Amino acid sequence: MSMLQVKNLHVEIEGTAILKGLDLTIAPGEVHAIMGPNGSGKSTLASVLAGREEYEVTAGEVMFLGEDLLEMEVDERAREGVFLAFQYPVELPGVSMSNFLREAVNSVREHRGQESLSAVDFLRVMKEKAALVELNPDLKKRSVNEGFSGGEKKRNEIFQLAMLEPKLAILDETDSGLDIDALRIVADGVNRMRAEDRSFLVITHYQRLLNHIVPDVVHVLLDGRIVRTGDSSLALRLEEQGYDWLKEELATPA
Amino acid sequence: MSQITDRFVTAFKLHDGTHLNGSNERLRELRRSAIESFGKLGLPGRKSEAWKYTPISRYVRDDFAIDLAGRGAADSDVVDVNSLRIPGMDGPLLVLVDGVFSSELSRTDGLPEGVVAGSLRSALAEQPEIAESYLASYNDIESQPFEALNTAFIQDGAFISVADRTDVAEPLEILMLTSAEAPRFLQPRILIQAGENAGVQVVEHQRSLGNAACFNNSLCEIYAARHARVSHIRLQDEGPNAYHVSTTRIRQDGESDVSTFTATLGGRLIRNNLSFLPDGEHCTSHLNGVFVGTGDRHIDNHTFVDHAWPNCESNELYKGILDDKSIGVFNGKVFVRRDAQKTNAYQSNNSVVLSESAKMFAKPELEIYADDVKCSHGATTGQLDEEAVFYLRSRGIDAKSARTMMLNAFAGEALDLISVVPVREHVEALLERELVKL
Amino acid sequence: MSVSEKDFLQEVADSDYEYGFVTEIDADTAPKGLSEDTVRLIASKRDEPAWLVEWRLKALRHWEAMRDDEAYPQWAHLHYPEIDFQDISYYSAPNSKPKYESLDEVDPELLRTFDRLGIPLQEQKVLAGVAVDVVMDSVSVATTFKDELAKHGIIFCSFGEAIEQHPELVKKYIGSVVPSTDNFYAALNSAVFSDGSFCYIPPGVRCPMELSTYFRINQAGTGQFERTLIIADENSYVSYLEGCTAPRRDEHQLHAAVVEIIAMEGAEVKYSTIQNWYPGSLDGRGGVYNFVTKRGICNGRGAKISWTQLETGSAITWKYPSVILKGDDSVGEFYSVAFTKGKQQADTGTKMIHLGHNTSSTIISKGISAGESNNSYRGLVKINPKARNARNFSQCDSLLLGDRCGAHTFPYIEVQNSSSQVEHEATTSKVGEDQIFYCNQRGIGEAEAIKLIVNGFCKEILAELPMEFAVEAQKLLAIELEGSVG
Repeated sequence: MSMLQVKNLHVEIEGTAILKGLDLTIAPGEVHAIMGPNGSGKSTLASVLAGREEYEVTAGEVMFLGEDLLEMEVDERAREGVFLAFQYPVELPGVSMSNFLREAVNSVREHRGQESLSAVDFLRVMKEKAALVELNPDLKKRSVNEGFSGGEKKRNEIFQLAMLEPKLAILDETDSGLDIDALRIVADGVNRMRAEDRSFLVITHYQRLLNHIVPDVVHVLLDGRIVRTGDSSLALRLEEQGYDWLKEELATPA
Repeated sequence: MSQITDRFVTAFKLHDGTHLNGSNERLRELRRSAIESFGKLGLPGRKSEAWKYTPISRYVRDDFAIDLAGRGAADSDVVDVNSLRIPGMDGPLLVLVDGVFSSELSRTDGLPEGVVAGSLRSALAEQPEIAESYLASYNDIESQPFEALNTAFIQDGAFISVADRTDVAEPLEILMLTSAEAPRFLQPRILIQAGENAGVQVVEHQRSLGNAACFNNSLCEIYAARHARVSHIRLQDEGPNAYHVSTTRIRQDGESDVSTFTATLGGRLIRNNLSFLPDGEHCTSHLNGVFVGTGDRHIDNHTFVDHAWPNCESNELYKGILDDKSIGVFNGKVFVRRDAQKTNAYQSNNSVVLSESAKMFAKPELEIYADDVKCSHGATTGQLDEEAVFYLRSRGIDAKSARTMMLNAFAGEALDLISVVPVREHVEALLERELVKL
Repeated sequence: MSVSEKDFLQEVADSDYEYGFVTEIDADTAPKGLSEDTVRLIASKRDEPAWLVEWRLKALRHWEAMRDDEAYPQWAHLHYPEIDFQDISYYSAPNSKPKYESLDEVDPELLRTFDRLGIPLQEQKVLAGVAVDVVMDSVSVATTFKDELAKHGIIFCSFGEAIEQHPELVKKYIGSVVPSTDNFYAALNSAVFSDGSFCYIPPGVRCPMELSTYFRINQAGTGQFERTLIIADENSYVSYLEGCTAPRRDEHQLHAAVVEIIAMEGAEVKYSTIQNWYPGSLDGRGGVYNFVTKRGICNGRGAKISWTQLETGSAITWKYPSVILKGDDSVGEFYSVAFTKGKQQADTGTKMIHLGHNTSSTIISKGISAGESNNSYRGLVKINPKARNARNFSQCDSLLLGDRCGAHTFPYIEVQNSSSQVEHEATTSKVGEDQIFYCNQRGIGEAEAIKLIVNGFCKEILAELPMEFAVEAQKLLAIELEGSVG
């Protein structure tokens, strides 16, 4: 069974069509990258998969491990194993990292029929996973994302990914605003999370992240549709030549 | 004179010298000038600026029995005090039932030497100098009708006195119970006096036993001598038919530190009048609170800090959450007199309105006559950050938990200022109770 | 506080009023006192239509009832002796001739007055491109650029002319934003107003120049009760400027104006005021009592009304330029600098009444108090239950110069739905000693340093004024601050 199967997905926001018939299939264990210029619909896809309500799905379907993903509420999706690493992680003043994560982790565990982690175990796991992305373990008392630097926020997203152990992780422009060291740390964190039963959808504008997280499949998103699919060499060509050659090819009738 | 004002004045005349004991000359004079003042003032009308958003006259019903001490108080035996206390609080306890001190229900053993805690009536009888030096010495019976009314009808209540250089380690809980099964108008009074270098924490816990509509006009006065440290926490957790005007008047001598926390999580109509007079240099005053409105609860917090001396500091933070058809009012005034140079005064009020029918009225005021000061206030009214709720939900946390977490975090900034841990935990629990419908 | 700083603050507090001269010209002044006869006399001076006379009389009756109930506003943070409304003349026209065809007919003494005021009536101001209406005491005496404006279909004239020539517009809109019964002083104005300015911008027209009115009280013992009505039709734009001065007199003069603005769908009106009425002597003798009702309505989607004011004059200022945000997506703004010194008292601010969806308002108020003055900000932000997604941001900062003045903030915030956000911030402080020290250390003297810092404090407001006014405003503020220094 596919991890994710998107068929003919049409999405509008406030009456403007953004996705215009998108098809995408991801098998378990695969890492897919979606590249595309600004405004092509990359972040819309991430938002729709995560369950943002302001996006209206006007046609098509999205199946996640055989279940209708679009029927699920955002927190249900998260408990089923869909994780979105936000492009702009939200600050939660007054909500401590440890409270936040304990609530999240135990919600997910309960859903999977696992027992809640004890306070001691929880702190141990937290420490262990924080090390993955070189986050200071003192962070448990800090408010979620409040006062975090740009790089810390992105590392915090991957840290949460590691804590929640999702089946499908969507990284929405996780590389934006990161310097090369932070990029490496984030990518290493992701790579260590790669597993046979876990898939990744890496959404990015630039190829450089894909040097570190090498994808199995690369898709190009243009004007709301996937117009080309290839292996990681496609990403390199896009990096060197931009998107114009592709637009020209598409404009020329085959 | 309106009919309702007349009822109070008539009741006063009827009981002057009997139930309203006149053995103490100063008290007798005080009562008489208070009732005279109340007769002139009457209850605040629609045009009274201080009651603009709280039309109080509407709530003082004419079927409220004007109750005097010794009549109708609940049978002490049937009150299970332990179940009414704040969980985790097992120190000294003063119990007022319908404004009357109950020595059977109270527990004041084990208090350090130099601490008097008990009935206000007894204290006034046994130590008339209290009436001379403290009682109503920082009151405004000339312009505040509820203060005048309470003062005219002083009968009983709680009295706490801490001698110089005495530290009371355990917080004292005053359980202010309204037992009534029939509509009544009650006027409890509390007097707290802390000597030089003394330290004391008092938790005033207001609860209802009966379901009848009852009106409490309570008054708490606090006098802190030099270098004293007083913490007063008021936890308002009364029933849905409780109407309560709580007045707190605090006078601080130099270098003292007094903090108040007002948590309103119950009642139908709650009005808190809180006045601080830092009456000497280098005083620190804290005015903090949370209020949660559900159903048709109406909560009005009026605060006033009268900075008359140089080098004092006041800090104020109130957080409000309003749901259903509740109404919140915050009016905070910082007054800095000409001589009060080097005053630092900070005030902040943040409210979250959760329902289309809830309302919030805020009026933060600064009135400043000294130039070398740092004063500021901020007021915000908004709603939960939906993006933050989405973020929480995207991590698998259900909608209700996500909202509760956000509201706890919102209130947390104020709750962190509650110095007594069991109270803080209990307020958090009450917050969850009140927000159960989210 | 250092000695020189104290001296400077003293001089600031003592600095003189530059516009306090009296112009000796003939005037036609009504006898003192107010009654139905007074109202009829005023109306008869310009042959007003019957409906307007009725409208005035209705206002008079309302005002009389309020007066008898002592229902004058008492909530403001202002202290002044009771005003004897029978000891005021309610009409004074310079010269017996009510109207002028051109500037040539104007009394040369009057023109010299305007020259001394620096009012742009003459050639150099033509270059500046500002159309001006001048109201002296109660009568409009000159309007420039009328023909140029008429080409665009813009009507800019005295209120009297508007009543004669555009009665349908006046009848439709007068009292539509500030009803004649709105408050004590609005009722008084409605009963006895004698002139003022009128402006109509047709749909889609962007007014090509700044429109400006100068108000001057001249005659002794008179009150000034002018009325301004601005209608910006759909998608039009106008920027309107108002300046005010008065002579130095020992007795108080009463000024009770009404300004109404109607901005239709997509229209934008920018209204700027430099209020410099005579503030009275340092010990509080004389000075103008300024009780003004200014209100605009955003009467359609996307309308915008912006008030900017520099208030330096008047013994008493009671003024709350307001916006009713009725249209969805409409915008209201209030930018204010209020400077008080001597024994001046100002109680000023705004009201933003949010009715429509997605309406937004911004309030930035800067108060500077010197001498023994009192300066209060009073404002209301009201979000009605139906004003979904309304937004307001308010910031009120006060600066105290000296230790005998007062600075006060009285904001009212009323939020009645769960989709709106309101933020209010206020601070009160003095000019920092560290700031002055820093300037000193860079070779800037005490007085200059304070001027610099105060100017910086007001900068964001003055920047909102149209260019022609911004310079004047800066000069005025500098004069107010400077006194006889430097």
